[in-house]
Amino acid sequence: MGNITSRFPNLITIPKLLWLLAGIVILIIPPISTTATITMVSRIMIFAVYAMAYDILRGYIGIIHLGFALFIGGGTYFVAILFANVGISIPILLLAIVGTTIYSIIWALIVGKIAAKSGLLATAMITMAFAEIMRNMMERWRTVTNGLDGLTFRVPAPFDNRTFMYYACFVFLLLMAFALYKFTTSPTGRVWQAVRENEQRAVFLGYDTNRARTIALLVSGVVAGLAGVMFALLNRFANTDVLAMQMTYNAMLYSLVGGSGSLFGSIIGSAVVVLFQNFLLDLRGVHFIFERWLIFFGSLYILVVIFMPKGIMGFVETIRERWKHKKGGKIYES
Amino acid sequence: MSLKKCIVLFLTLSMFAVMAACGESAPAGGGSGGEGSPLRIGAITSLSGALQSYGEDFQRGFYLGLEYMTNNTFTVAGRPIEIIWEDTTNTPDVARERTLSLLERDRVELVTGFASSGDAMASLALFEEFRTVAVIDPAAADAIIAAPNWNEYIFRTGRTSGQDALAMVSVLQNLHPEGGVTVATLAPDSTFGFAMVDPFIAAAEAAGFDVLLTEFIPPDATDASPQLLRLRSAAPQYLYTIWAGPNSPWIQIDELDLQGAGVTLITGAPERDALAAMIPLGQMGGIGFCVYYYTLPQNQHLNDWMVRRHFEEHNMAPDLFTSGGFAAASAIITALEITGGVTDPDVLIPTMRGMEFNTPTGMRYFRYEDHQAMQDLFEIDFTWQEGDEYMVPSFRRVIGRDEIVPPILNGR
Repeated sequence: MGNITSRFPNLITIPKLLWLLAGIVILIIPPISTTATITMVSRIMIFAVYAMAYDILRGYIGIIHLGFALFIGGGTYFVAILFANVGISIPILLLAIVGTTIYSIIWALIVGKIAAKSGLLATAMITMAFAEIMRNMMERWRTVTNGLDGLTFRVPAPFDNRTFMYYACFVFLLLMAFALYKFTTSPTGRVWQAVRENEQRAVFLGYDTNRARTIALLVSGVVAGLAGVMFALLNRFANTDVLAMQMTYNAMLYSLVGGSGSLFGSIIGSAVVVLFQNFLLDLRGVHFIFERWLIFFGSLYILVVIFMPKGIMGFVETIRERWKHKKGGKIYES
Repeated sequence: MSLKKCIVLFLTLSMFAVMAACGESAPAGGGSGGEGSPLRIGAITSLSGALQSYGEDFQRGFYLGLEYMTNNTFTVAGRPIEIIWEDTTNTPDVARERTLSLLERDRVELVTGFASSGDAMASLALFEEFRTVAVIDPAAADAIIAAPNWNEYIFRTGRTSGQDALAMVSVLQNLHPEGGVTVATLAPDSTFGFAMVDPFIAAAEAAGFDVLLTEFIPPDATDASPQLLRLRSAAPQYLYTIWAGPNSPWIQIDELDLQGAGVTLITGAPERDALAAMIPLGQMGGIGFCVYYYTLPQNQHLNDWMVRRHFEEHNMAPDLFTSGGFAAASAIITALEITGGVTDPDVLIPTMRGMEFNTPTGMRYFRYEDHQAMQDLFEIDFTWQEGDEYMVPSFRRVIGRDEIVPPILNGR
């Protein structure tokens, strides 16, 4: 199978030029686009962070977390409830961030304890139940959350400026990507991958797999919670859909389409899926067949599974390996 | 360049970009357009997802409404009408984005639609920001016209949950003018259930009824025996059952013979697909209210026309949300005929406030304080005969719009 760390390209091996190009494109979008486009790209960036956090669990440590929505939902609701009921200001936003972090830490520790005792499947089912519990709670707590109808609220300056929000999302994406990159290439990150490959062997080699797992859950949960905070600031609205199964499916699908086990893959997956959905919705006006856009959307997933089972990044890596093989050069990047 | 330097460069560039870009772009105001210039209307609703049939019914009704109100010319005050349809996919953040696209990229002068209250709630603030009037139908949440969500650009032709509750109480009051009625409720344990029960309890208590029990069933539960048995032993005179979606409780209510305990079932009749699940109710008999069923409006020329045209075009009867689409079109055309095609909110909003407009269920008008349409509903019997594909609501009387005035929730 080869060296684990080079199975998927990590951030450094992508040509620097491509990075710079992508960065420039992202930076110049606001002045030349409509608000709707700016909002869409902001949404892509937030979901990219969310998917990256999910992939830490699925692609690195190998936990299937079927209730992942409870982290992003938690972040969103902390902001929404505080803004709608207490007040709108930066200090309150900081309070929401602190609250989200504590909330994510608590849930991460709970799931960590459970995952240590139970198998993969049991953990998956139990996490699904946790998300449903949170969703139910928020739905019943109507006086505070308004349930499915949702809460609208304003956001403090300068977040009410969409262009500022866009750049804030970009900086957020960079920071989180950098942080997660550092984690995944650190010794702890290597232990994560060891646990994913063969937990028993990792234990025999003397690694504390429970500790590694807890760290993965903490990192992943807090990052997803912060993504929730940004999500609330972007939409200025929160309802129980943000805690529903569909939100967890979104994370799964974005990271799968992009390529599980590679951080950059989640960013690409998020961009591809959201852009494709918007592209299809825009086509409604062109031809009536696109009213059934969900068919095309579903086809995307089917095609990815059939032709690119390792996701887009996996596909790119396969092409690169074949190309290197052809050239007779080194297969492994140093 | 090392990764570190890359990141520092990006962050620096970002900072400069933020400082440079921190200027507000002026929001697009509702343009007034000149004589003869096309009138762009943005119609956005759930055209996929759980409420797809609601959105499609609205679409059909909207076109028929425009056809009738413009005499098949599809122009108003000399301006040809152009409609741009968008799909919210029944997801609030997508709804918000598509609304934004309509307001900014397509520069629509009016927006209409929203089948899902969540979608509507997520988009309300945009109408104020872009100074564009929105006519909402059929999203029914009371929250839409409540503070702090409401703003003066929002008009709703569809009914609000509060009106449903008051209609139910009005039915009971009409049956028992002397009072002394005991009621109970049965609803799904969800936002929809609570949104229907809360105003009903408030109205029932205000009318002097005795609310014995409020029971809630998990929406996906297949067995409601605990709740139904409690209701049977409490034996209220009337049980107001609210349900939408699968696993409806009607069959179980019949099995557990609540009627034998002296309970009469009351409920609101929904759209045809849901009526199909209510056949047991039609067999048991009961009384209730209905927002629209195509045989209910009496002597309503608009409804007769719409039913006839709908059969011609689509080979089936119009449904609940078709009437809503028609009403939205009617409100828009009526208003624009008065303003002469001007959609500037400074002219349009004062015009629409208090404005009366004709709809398949009769005349409606927008209340001054919150722009909610005051409208008639119908009192009905539940009937079913061999061969009916669904429970058929049968007319008893019109519940007048002045009997069902919901509380003003936006602080005005």
